[in-house]
Amino acid sequence: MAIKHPIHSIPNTTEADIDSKRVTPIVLSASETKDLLQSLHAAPQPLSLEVQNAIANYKRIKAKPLPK
Amino acid sequence: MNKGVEPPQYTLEKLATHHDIWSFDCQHSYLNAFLFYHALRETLHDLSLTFVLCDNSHSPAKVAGYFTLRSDSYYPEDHSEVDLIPVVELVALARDKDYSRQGIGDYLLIEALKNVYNASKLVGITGIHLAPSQEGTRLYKRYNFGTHPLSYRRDLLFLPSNTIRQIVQPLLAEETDLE
Repeated sequence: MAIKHPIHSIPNTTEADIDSKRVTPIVLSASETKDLLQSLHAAPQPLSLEVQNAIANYKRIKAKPLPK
Repeated sequence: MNKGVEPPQYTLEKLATHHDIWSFDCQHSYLNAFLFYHALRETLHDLSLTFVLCDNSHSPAKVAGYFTLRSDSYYPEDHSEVDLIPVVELVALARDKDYSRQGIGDYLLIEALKNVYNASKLVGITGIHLAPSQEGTRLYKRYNFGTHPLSYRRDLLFLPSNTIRQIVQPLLAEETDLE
């Protein structure tokens, strides 16, 4: 049995849809290119409190010593 | 190891043959199968890179989660401005069921974003995209991943480099200070 790629887990997406997406390069129209390039320079939104808490938890996990 | 520094419980490591991946179970058959049958082969060939979060309180270390990154590009139809827009694809991100509600998903995502940020300083990357599972969408939206600008790829979420920088630059600066 062929092993499915995780992208196959997208709901309501058929194998044919996915195969076409995996092999078809993403092509941008002129306006999409312009929109994308402009969005790269937009000021980022502030991080939510939830993300700030997640970053604090990240630091705790990273600093956690091996139990003796 | 530095004198006086205790070894950490968790370490992030590039997937290699010695990692015990077979006990990993994120309760998502595709993401389990990707780790078991694709991730190592792709990492060994540099097609994509998978990093595993090892819980060293087990012997051998238990894989608490993993993520996989690879390069991708968008091709503008009109080449007058740019020929190619480089991005990174987050191919997979999953944590083991025994590590739920501990922030391991967030941990893995932050580590993935750090990798993308470091790479972006060397080769130029405009952002990261992914096709999230239904369960993963909430996690990514918290980090301001937005709908993809491409109308026919609304299944993708995209996070531009400037937002990645906003999230990880303070962390990297702190880590440099600690070294």
